[in-house]
Amino acid sequence: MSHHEATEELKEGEEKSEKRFHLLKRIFEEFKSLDSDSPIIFRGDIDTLAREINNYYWDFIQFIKDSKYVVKGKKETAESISDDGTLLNIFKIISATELAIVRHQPVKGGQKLNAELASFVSFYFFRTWFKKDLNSISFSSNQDLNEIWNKFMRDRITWLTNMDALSNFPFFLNSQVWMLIYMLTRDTIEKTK
Amino acid sequence: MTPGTNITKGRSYFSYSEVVATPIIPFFNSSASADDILVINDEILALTKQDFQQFVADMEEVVEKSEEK
Repeated sequence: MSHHEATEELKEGEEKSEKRFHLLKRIFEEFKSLDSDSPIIFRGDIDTLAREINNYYWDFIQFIKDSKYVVKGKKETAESISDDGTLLNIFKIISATELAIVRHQPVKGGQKLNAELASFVSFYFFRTWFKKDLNSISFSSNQDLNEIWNKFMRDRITWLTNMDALSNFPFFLNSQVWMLIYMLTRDTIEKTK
Repeated sequence: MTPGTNITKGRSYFSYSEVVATPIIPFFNSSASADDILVINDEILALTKQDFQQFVADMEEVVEKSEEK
């Protein structure tokens, strides 16, 4: 790689990171505004916490790219799913993001609340990846989808609540779970159309 | 029929590659990069909030029911 190419790659990486930071920050703010019995309080400035978590995410992604666990140089595209599974597809992006959130515990009030934040963020990422027309579907007003998602969310919030992400970072396993829920959701939507 | 493949006795077994390599993947954004897809969309954000709130309410109901037993 030439010096120019390396500089361009670095610049592109910084732009991606900055965009993702703003996205994460906005979703954190939306989570804070959810109706709740007691107010949702972050353990500091949302801007700083989102920056911390985002930096950790990109460091981790760089680590797995350097370690050749995923193919280097390939873009994170939805097409990645049709490749050999070693690419950085949406399921890996979601997996690393939510584990990074659980690791940092940005919300005050216990691990369950942080597990809910991580699930809220990943749920948004998951939905955003779908085409816009299917995003108009409310999962909670579709009986079949609601049943799947309630069970899925309940179990994963329990799992994320009890996980020690400081010593445990099941990145690949978690991404496979997201791939499976995607397939289940896709089939259910197709059947209920 | 080649022994050792996943096709025996005329039956095609499930395999990972068959699933992920299927060329038609319904309702996937297939031409954009993550940067273009993972952006703020107020409509989707509103739906995500609505579904999440409903999920929390459903779970509270489950807890209440199990406490009643």
